[in-house]
Amino acid sequence: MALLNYTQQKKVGRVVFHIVVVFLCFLMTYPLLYMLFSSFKTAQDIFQHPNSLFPQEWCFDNYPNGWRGFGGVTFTTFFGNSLFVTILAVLGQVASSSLVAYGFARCNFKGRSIWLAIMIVSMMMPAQVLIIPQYIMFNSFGWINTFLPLIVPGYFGYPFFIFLIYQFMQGIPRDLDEAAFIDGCSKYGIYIRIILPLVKPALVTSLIFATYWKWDDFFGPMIYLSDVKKYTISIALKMFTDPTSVSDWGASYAMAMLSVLPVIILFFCFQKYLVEGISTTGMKG
Amino acid sequence: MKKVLSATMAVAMLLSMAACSSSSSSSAAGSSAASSSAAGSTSDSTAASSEAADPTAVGDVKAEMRMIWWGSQTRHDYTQAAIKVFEEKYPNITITPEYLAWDGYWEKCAAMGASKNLPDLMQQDYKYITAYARNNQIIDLNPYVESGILDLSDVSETAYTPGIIDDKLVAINLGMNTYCVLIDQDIFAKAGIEIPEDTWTIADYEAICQQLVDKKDELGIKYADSVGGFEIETLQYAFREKDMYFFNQDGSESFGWDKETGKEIILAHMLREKEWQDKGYIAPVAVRQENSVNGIESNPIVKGECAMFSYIWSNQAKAVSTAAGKNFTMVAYPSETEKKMQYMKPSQFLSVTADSKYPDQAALFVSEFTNNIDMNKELKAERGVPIAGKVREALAADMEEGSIDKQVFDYVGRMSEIANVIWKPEPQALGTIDNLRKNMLVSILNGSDPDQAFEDFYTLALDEFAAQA
Amino acid sequence: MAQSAVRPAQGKQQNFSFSKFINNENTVGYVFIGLFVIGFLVFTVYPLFSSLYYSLTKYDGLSAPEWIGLKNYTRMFTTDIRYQKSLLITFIYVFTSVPLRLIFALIVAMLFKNGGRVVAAYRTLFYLPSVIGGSVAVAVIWRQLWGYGGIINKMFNAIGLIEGDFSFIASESTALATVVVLAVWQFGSPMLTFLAGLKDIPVSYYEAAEVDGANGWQRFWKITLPCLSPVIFFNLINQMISGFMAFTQAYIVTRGGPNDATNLYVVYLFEKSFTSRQMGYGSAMAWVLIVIVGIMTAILFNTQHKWVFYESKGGK
Repeated sequence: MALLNYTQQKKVGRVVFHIVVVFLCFLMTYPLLYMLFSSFKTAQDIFQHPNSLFPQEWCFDNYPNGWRGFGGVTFTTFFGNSLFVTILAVLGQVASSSLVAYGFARCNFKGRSIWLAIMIVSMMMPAQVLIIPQYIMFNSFGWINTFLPLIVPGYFGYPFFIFLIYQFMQGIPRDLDEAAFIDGCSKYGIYIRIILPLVKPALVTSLIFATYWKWDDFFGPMIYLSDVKKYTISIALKMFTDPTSVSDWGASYAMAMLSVLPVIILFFCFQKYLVEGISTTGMKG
Repeated sequence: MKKVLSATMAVAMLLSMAACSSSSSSSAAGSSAASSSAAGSTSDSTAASSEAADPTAVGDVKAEMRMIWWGSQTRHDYTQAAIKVFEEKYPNITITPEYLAWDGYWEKCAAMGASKNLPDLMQQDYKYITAYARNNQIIDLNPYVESGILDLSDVSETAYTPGIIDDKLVAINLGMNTYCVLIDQDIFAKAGIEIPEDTWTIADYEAICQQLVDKKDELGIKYADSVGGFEIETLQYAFREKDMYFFNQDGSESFGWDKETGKEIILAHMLREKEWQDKGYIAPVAVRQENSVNGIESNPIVKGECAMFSYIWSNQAKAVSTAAGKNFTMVAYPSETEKKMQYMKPSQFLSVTADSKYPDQAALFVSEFTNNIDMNKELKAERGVPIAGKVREALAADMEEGSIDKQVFDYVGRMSEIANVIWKPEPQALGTIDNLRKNMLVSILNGSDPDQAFEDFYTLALDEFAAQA
Repeated sequence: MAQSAVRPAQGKQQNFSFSKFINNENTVGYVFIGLFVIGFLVFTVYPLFSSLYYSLTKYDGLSAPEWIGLKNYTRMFTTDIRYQKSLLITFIYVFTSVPLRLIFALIVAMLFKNGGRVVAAYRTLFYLPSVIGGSVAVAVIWRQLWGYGGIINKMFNAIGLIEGDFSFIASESTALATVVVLAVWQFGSPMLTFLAGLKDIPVSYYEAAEVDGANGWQRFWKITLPCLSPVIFFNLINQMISGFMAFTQAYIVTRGGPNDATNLYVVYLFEKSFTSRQMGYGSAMAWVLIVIVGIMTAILFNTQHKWVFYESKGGK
């Protein structure tokens, strides 16, 4: 190393960094690559050569065959349903959660700590035991076989996001609020003008999470939707495989591949809000 | 072919009738179903239908029904096509399908059941019918058999008795299924071993395994038999060999044996598996553990790593064949003597739920699903070998010689002649007991103290029974 | 805290009583959290209390629940040895996977927090495992990597630690570790929150530190970690809760086996509730879980004044 000057050392360091990172990237993405290449394998190939990444011969039938769906309902429908549910639910979750988080972070009302505790505790209930009571409840609302149970509860705040945004709001100095308050800004105005723009990274994070979770949610749609035309992608994906009978793994991989694309694209597009241009606002001075 | 099938049916009928008459539990309701069907005489069935509802009149009623089942793409497509055939025949009836994968099916049904919102028609599994029947979630179909709406005249008694719980016919078998051993005939030929007869015994099995293990390297296999995971059935066969049952047959939450006898049978059975494992006859415990999670298509037989795959259901043979890209030979599961312990199990059932507003029409649908040849041509026996004789014949006639479907048909036909009588549906504790049994087996195969493993199993099993009772 | 409570009273002179009312700290608070309160009362209270009631009954989801008092709770801690083992395994899982996940996520977030397109691509690639979450492909791959004669097996053979074929997935001693590694590998969600947290650290802090001659390591300890502590706190709480509730990984990769070695709490709860239809017992298990996680969360909340640094509280 002594033979190299400083810039050369830096260059070598960077090359090594990239080599290591690319190798790690390969490890991280191997399952996705496997899924991608398996979606071009024939049924025999998938099971006879499970250890080889590449198909023995390329087979493109899995995509049209998978897209065909089940009994006349195609993946166009499933994608449409998933998009509809995800977009509506995510908007509601993020917007309402930011409101609630502001209430907890910046208002000193009576019962604040109790409600905060209730909010945290409601994150701890395993969804599995709530299935039946929730179904009974939504059935009494007449909401079964509609998208409402999947969308509406999100408009009343989602504890995970409330907590996340709340934590970020706590990181914002109060001097800013106070300055705004002296300028005649009400609590409501402070929320909209001061706090909301500053927690953008938390909102984006929530948005990415919320999208992925809604998109990936299997149990909710499975329980509440009965009409096949209303099924979301997550249910449809499971329907290719049946442990008690013949499964179509090729089509399953193909459709799984397509179904992760929107989430990846979303992440790729939104990540810039998380990193680029390090914050210059919100400091004390 | 027809000859074989009708002979098959006749023998099966005789066997099952003999079995039935010896069991005291068959009631008035049960036997009335038997009389209108097993007898199968035309005079009988016309008499029944004339005094009650006429199927065509039932079909003229305007009815909107829902039907739920689990399955994969193939089944969803086939079943929808069959429903279309039914709706064309009865234009007043519409059926909205709600199909799912196996994962989540029972959770969803539990939720729907809890709020009295079950679809009119529900695909059922042997594991669950007792619970649904005892809680009156699915209705007794005997009245519909008597009134002639549900026609079982072409169905043998062995085929529908599994659907009788507490003397009520709560579910109709959708397809026959039985255990088998898949044999890679190419490896057997290479090793110079003859394909065994269905009547082969455990001793024959061991001898064949030994021969295969001796030529292991030459044949390119790792062990003789991959087996599946840790299926409970083989242990149940071990009890049947002693003329006992693993679970109590009186429908209570208990074992069918006292601790001492049971322990002896269980440990003998599991220690033999350990011996087989140590000798390389069967796959090591780790491979079986992986098999049990991986699904049948990943079984080592697909990659030619072994010569046999025992512990597999006949309707799964197709999936394995598809994955392997070749057909395997199907033979019966070996038993101590030539008498077989394996039985014909319904692959799944169709039930009419108590939440149905149109039980008559639902029963009519069940009847058509069973007997309508056009519908079954759409269903393509994907759920197992159909139970109605005429349907079986019609489907068999269309099958290609040498196809895997044909092979499964032939095998199930052969087995129905020699299979044992099925036992009563398992108690509700089955889910946990089965896991406990698996744990015990894994411990023993890993070389743990068998007595201790059994004690752990037994204590926890009693705890589970107590919680269920 | 105290100063903001009194603020409305001493603020601008309010002429309208409505305006006074609407700007009152209590009103503002409930206006903002109102949605949550309503949602909680409408959507959560009923299922929550039903499950509490079920936990005191024998309930199979089909017939009416039958009151049995505390029997479900006593069973857990007396006769049900599998439950106790499952609890122990879950603790091991949480105490290993959560710290590892957080450390890994923080390192990656620090590495990729800024940079051009290439780094953005890396970031996306590192996030990918979390996107494919519980899909079949992950289960299949994981079993291949760690299975009998799998790649990891071969690697251990090569360095001479293991002889012959060995399955990490199917061996009692190593199965849990493979599930932990899977959880760590899917570190995307804490990474994301760390990235967001890092972005919120004002760049002037670093500039000032640079002027003072602090090196990278010092800046990390003196600026990054304290400023990030609210996010670390959030991730710790959240990862701990989701660690206790972990289900998918263990369920798809090992189904709780072999011999219950990966029978995590919720996997067992699921078996009890649905496979053996003891909803009452399952609900009781859920409530015990709430108490356990609740206690752990309370402990963490009570320690946060020692290490979590909130700008809004002005402490330094």
